[in-house]
Amino acid sequence: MDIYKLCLEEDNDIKGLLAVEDHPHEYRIEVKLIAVSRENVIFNREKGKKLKQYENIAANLLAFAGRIALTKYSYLGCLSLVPKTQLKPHYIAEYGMKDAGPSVYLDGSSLQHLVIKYLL
Amino acid sequence: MTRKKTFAQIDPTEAVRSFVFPTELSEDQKRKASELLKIARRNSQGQITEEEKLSAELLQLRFQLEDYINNQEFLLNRRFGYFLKIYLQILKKKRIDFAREIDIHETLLSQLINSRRRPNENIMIRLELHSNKCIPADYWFRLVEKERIHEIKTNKRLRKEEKVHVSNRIPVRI
Repeated sequence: MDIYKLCLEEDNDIKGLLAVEDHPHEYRIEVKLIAVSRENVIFNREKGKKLKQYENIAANLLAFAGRIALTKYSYLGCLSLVPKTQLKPHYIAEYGMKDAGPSVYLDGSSLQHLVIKYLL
Repeated sequence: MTRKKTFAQIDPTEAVRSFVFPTELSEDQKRKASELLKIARRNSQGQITEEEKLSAELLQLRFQLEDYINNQEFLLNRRFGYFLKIYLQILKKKRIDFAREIDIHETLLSQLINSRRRPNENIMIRLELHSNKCIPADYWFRLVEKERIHEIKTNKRLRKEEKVHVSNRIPVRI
């Protein structure tokens, strides 16, 4: 498993973490974990009282995992994760992921779209 | 805060904008999930167009270039010519046709690919335009710079030659 952190260049403050597992025989990168720093999450009790420091941290980390898939496996590359059941429709709505039973995934143009949107 | 507590205190949209929670599946569940994913991917792989393949290959080249440029290590087999050759292979172009498309002589293109000559800035700009900015000119520029930096760091012959032109060196060594 590989772990990445997203930091600001100036202060090395961690804004988010990403853990991925490579499945080379399937040309697939699996996201095992994404976590955004506390100040960039709005909990229910904070709604309307707090603004995030930065938007789209998780999306950028997800796109970075997609970049790994594209760099290694080109058009065969795939990005997948196994979400909590209740959250599955929300990953599909938020990131355009496709339904594959317990997993959701991105490949082909949908994977490229995510990477281009957040990283280029 | 524990994962359960976090999950209870956040609405689902915000949850997917902030987390991918780790999931614990049994071996059997993992195998089933993997099978279902393979079936779903088989269907979507069949729908990939030639255009999507091409853009994926160009993105792959761009990211490989980025990673190499940002890495400190210089590799003799990862010079300008190597990446240019890959660009041509992705486009399935013959050298003679590509040379015409960027208005250079075929001989010069061969020299660039074989790392016998370095490109000037005009060629880098032409490559950027040819790729519709998919590979920006500054990537090619930084690639050539990386090679030049390696050369000046390691050129013993030039150091020997230039020694005769330097006198009264400072008395300290860092």
